[in-house]
Amino acid sequence: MRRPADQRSKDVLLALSVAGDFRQTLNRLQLQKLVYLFDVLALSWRHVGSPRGFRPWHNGPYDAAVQNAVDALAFRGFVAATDVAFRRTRNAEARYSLTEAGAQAVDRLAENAAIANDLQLLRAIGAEIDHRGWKKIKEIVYSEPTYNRARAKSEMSELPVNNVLENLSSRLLSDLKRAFDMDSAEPMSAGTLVQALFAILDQYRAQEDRTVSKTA
Amino acid sequence: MEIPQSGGHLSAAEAIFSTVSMKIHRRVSAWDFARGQTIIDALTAFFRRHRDELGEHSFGFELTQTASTASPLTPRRIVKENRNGSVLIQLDPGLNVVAIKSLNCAKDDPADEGVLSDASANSVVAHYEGRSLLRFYANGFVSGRVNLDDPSA
Repeated sequence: MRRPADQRSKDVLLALSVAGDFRQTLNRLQLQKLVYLFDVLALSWRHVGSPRGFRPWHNGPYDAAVQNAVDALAFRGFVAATDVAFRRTRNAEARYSLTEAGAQAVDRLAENAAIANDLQLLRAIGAEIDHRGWKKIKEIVYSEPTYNRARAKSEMSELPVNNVLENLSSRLLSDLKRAFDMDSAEPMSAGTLVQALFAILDQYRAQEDRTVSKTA
Repeated sequence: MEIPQSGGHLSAAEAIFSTVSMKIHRRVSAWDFARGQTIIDALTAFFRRHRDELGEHSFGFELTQTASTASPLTPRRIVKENRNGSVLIQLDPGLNVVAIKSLNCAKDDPADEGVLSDASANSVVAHYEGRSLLRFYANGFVSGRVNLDDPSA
């Protein structure tokens, strides 16, 4: 079941708010990838899933509802689209950021505890991406195991980010958390969970690079 | 239905789990795991670079994660601060010297593993044991050892 654009509006607003915190405007594919990372981590973060919607696409995970949501939000004045360019008739490019009205909408949304929790997760993701550089968002997402597996198998079905078994990042983090919590001073925090996934993806990419250079 | 996990990701997770920073974070929850590894790596590189100057002596360092504008750590400073007995040199994430704490050790009885382990209550202490070994304590537990002889360790 895909998420309708209205349900994605919240995700888009929060994602652009966090990108703005790091003085970033996002193009449409960066926006898709940031929301994808949110979806992947949301299962572990709140132990509650969200409907699947992302499919593997030519340029990474793609959910049409995210694009519809950002278009609708731009039309309503919550999002500013800059650097607009048309590569093909149906392929417009732009960079997105929140308007003042969008920022106010995020403040109002964040009064809800569940949405504030989502915003906290996106901020943790934003901090990790910012630490590595926003231009690395593509290679980060490509090394994420759920997408990585689907891409390797050329599967074009929806990415199972909501499935406890099939969201491989969630499973990996669940195992890591279980091991961490044994004999630790305190249980692993949600923030450390996010840091751990990004560190694992870094390590995975470094391993892959070493393998490639050995076989080259 | 069992979905196989990627072997590459599993070994990456194991590698992360066995890092010194993660072991420290398990003992001191306030220790930022991700940024902490950068400090561990910088300190390890520092001692590998300067172990000839520091020699076979025992030195203790308290690691903190709040940036400061203090002056940078140097081998000369380490030796100077420890000349009248062992001290704990408090460092910021950029390896700048924030403070010097006395360990109440006699000049001819430098702080050993027991003293520095005790000094790590609710904090993180690095122990330069000599040219070959750097040890880390977190909240009284040994949380990692780095072989300074082996650049791959």
